[in-house]
Amino acid sequence: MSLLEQFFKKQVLVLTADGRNIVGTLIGLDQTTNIILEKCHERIYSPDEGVTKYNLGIHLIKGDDVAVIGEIDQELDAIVVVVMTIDKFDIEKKAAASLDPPKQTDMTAVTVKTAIKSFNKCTLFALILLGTFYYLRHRFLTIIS
Amino acid sequence: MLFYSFYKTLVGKEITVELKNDLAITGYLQSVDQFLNIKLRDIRVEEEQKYPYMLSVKNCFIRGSVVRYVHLPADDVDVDTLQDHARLEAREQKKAQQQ
Repeated sequence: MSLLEQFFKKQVLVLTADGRNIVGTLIGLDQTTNIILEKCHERIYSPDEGVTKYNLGIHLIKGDDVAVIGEIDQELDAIVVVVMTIDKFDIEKKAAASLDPPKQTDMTAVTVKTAIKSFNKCTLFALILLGTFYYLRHRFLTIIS
Repeated sequence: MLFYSFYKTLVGKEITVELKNDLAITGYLQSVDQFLNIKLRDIRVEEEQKYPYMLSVKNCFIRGSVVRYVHLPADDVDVDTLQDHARLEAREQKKAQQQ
């Protein structure tokens, strides 16, 4: 799309048909205005909370949902960036966390169970030993006395 | 193709595009394409308090499918020429349909 080629690899603001505001670097586009945004985040403007930022990583937005694509002027955007509050939700961090192998947690559970079992066995054995020691001591003392 | 050609005659003029989601953007027409996607430069949103998001944007691309109205300056539109072209186009379409 020759009209959008001017925005290629620039930071753009996408207004979706459902009224969402997504800012990111335009790295892909096609005839039907499907776009790929890198390092994108959603900006939510509200009178109560000011501007909040939700990080999204890499996103493909289907052309049907695209209404307006605006080229962001960095100087003008600086004001908004300053006002933007702390990232409330970082999808990349969440995705990374969900990739943690669940086996790891299972392993810890398994090792703990076996540890408990072996501990029980150990204590039992120790108790038996202790018991026999005291019995023999008692017998020895009684023999002496 | 008629309106594509028509828009090309309006390049450089200041127009107001009203979208289907009620957002109205005023700017100078930079270019247009076959899908009637519009590119505007030096834009200004009509109700700035209601739509603060476009503050950092000076040039924008508007998808043709989300346009509801395009408000044009009356002086820049030659209505008679437009009507003649529309009639020609209608005639050609009829011929194409009959064939």
